[in-house]
Parts: sequence; structure tokens; C-alpha cells
Amino acid sequence: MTDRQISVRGTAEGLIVDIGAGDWEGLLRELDRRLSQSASFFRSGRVALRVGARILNRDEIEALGRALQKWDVSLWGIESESLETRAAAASLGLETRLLGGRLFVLPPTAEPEPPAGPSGVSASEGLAVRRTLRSGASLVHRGHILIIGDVNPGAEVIAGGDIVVWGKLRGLAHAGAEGDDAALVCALRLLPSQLRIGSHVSPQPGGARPARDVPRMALVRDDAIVIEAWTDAQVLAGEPSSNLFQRLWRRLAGSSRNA
Amino acid sequence: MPGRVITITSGKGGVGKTTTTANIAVGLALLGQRVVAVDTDIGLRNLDLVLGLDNRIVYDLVDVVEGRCRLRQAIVKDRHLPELALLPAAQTRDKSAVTAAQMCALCGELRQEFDYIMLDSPAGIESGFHNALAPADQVVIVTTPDVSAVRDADRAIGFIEANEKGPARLVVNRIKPEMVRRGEMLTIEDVLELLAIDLVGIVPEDESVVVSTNRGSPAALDRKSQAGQAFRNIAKRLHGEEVPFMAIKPSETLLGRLVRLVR
Repeated sequence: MTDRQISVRGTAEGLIVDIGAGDWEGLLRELDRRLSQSASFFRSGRVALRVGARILNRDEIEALGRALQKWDVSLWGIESESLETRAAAASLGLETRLLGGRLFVLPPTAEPEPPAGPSGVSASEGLAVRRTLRSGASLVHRGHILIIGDVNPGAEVIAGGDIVVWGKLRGLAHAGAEGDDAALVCALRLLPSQLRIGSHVSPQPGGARPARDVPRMALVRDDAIVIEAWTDAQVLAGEPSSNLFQRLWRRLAGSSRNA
Repeated sequence: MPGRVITITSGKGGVGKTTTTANIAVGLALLGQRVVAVDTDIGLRNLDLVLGLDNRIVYDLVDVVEGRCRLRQAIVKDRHLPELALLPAAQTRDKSAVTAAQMCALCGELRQEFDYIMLDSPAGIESGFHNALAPADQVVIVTTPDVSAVRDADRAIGFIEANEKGPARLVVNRIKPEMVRRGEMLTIEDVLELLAIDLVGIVPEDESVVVSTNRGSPAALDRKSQAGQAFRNIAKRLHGEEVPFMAIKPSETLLGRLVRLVR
């Protein structure tokens, strides 16, 4: 059973380990066992992993890297059908395209690109996730993040650029995490447990639930995080950090009015 | 047809996983299904007490896994309900005594003998939880209408989805209608809105559950218990029957009625 779940093959670029479906902890133990059996085969080698649709966060990928390091094997890439897994891998400087362009792949974000605007975030660096982030989930991305779904209490979203949640934001959001005070956080229901923009922190911004459930936007004004109704005009006034997102916002705000 | 493995889990402890497991198992057995309730909370054995089978345990799950006995020797049959059986956890070991692969193999054997295998998961999101999740065909999340229990349930659901064991179904346990009415407790709608999974049952807070749990005779056997009725309904829904959700009325005590009159 275990043999089919982990398979190793050699390619021109190095060894590629396929990890099948099943219990992740069990698979890691199996991987460890395989490495221990053929330690000399793997020694000083570099390995890439294919993890299917599995969603791995930065911590899990880092743990994986440490587990391989124990056997003197370095991790150079992770291929996954999950955008989030690829984004997490890319943020750790790992390759996310191992075997040709079968999948849609994010532009590499490991190396900071030259500043593309006042915010230093290039327009090509958006990450769109269509999923609800449940408690304990962590989504970290150097560029902008668009979530179609909710961010539940206990989940966190950390973006170098802006954060747009097409749903309820009730967890923690940190926009402009690399120090960009011009970043924005927008949500259809903006009720975060804590909001951070650039170097500003605001616990439970906006206080209690607003009387009307309107889309709202958080931004830094006069050195403090303020929350305002999210309307088309204000988004433009807030000078979002890229044209792509400006267009996206116009579209999203437009469709919210129609809905 | 091989049996189905249903894992009962919650994230947070103390929300009524074991009581729920025992009562759903009884409910399914009352429908004539062959059911084995498996206690996977190794080291913190409870399910045997709730089912009233604690004094008949000879071997346990770890004995089976480690080959000290055959599976059939470890299974304790209920005397009153012949369709119901228990595979107890070891009390003297800990979670590391069993691996996920061993749980899968064990459940594979049980599938041949039973229609339903009910796995009572330990609290938390550590190895014991993953062991209970690995063989599941269906996962049932138990939560109470408390902010902390719901957040932990949300975390557990995230793991279930990541392990491709979803969609999980939800039991909201210990609803206190009076407190909901006064706005002091989360409503079913609040819980569903956050967790966004299919509801399979609402169980009212019912003192008879405490009494029956302590006595080792699950509430589902008690025709008069409101919670017992709720658990039997959950069993029917898991078995594929359409059962309407019952209206949860505050159970009115004589004292409560007097107090209300005086007010």
C-alpha cells in the first residue's frame, strides 16, 4: 500500500518524489523510512516533490525541507495543483514548475522584482484563491491577494500588496506586510479580528458590527487605520497600488451594485 | 456490501463526541444495522463507560493491532442490543501505539463484519485525530454553540477538507433554547453560516443525557428523552432517511413555570 503512495523517479533536473493521496503524517513517515533505507542513494542530492491537489502552507513546507535536510537532501521544488501550495512554495524560494507547463503557474515571487509603482508591488503578482480559509489556515503572498470565499476567525491572510475578500473577512488580515502603508483591505463584510496595514495594527477596527452590512474598505489615513464604505469612487481615491487591481475593483464593485 | 466508517470528531474536547458516538451507534443498531463503536482515544478510554460495557472488556484495540488477540476476541457485544458492539481503546497506552495505516487495516476487517463502524476520535488535531480520520468514509463534526468550540470545529473541518475526507456533516450539541432566545448563545444559523457544512442534527441540552451517560445507558434508548429522539434522528439521517428537524422547545420544569407566573 505504502509503495504506491510514494514513488521516486530520476529526471534530468534531479529526483522527483510523487506523494499520493492519503494521510499526510503517515506519508511523511513513509518518506522518512524510504530515505533512511536508501540514505546513500539520496545523499547530497536534490529532490522535488509533487503533492497533487494537497494544500500545504509555509510551515508545512518548511518542516518538509527540514525532514529532508536530516538525510542531507535538499528540497528544490514543489509541484501542486493547488495555487496556495504553489504560492507558499514560491514564497520560500522553491520552484513550482517541475515538469513542463502542464499547470497554470504563478510567476515566481521568490526574488523581489524591481518596484513597479509607489507600493513596490508589480501588477503581475496577484494570487486568487477560490476557497474559504478556515481557522488555522494561513495564506501568505508577496503580491496582492484576492479571496473568493470567507476568511474565518482564526485564519490569517498576509499580503505584500492589497487584500480583497469577496466574502466575509473575520480573521486576521495584514496588507502591505512589507511596509506598504498605502495598501488596502476590502471585503464584502469587513469584520476582522485584527487588521494590519503596513506598520499599523488595529484590533477589531471599526468596533462592533456596522448597522448595515455593506462592503467596506480599510486604509491608512493620518497615521491610523480607518474603515470606510467600499464604493467605486473611494477605491479610486485611495490610489490602489496597481492598475490591474483598479480594474478588478471597478468590476467587483460594479457587480456588487448589480447584485 | 462492506460497512461504512463514520468518524465522529470535534477539534475541541468536551463538546460531546463520545456521547454522540454512543448514541448514534445505538440509534443505528435500533434501525437493525450491525454497528461497532470504536474508541480511538487511546489512553483516555470513555466510550465503554457511556455504553455501559466497561466491566466486560478483556482485550482492546491495541491488543488487536499488536497481534495479542484476534479481532473478534476484543469486540464486546451489547447484551440488550445484539446489533451493537464495542471495540474499546487501551487505557494504559497512548496515541503513539497505533498508526493511521493500522487503523485503516483494522477498519478494513471490521467492514466485513458490520454495516457501520463508528470511530470516536480523540480531541485535538494531533496524531490520534489523524488516525481516526484516515479510514473514514464520512466525518461528523460535533460542536456546541460556543465561539471556542465553533472555531476549533472550523479548524478540524479544514484538516478534513485538506485530507479529502469532506464534506463533513455537522451535529450541534447542547443547544439551550432559552439562552438562544435571549441572544446569549450562538444560534444554529450563526454556526452554520461560519462552518458552511451540511447539518445532520441538533441536540438540545438535556439533563437526562448526563444521567444516562453516567449510568451507561445511552439516551437514545430512552423514549422520553428529547436528546435521545434527536440522536435517533441523526442515526436515521446518516442511514439515508429524510427526517425533518424537530422543533426544540425549552423543557419546562415546574419551578420554571412557577417563576414565569410570578414574573
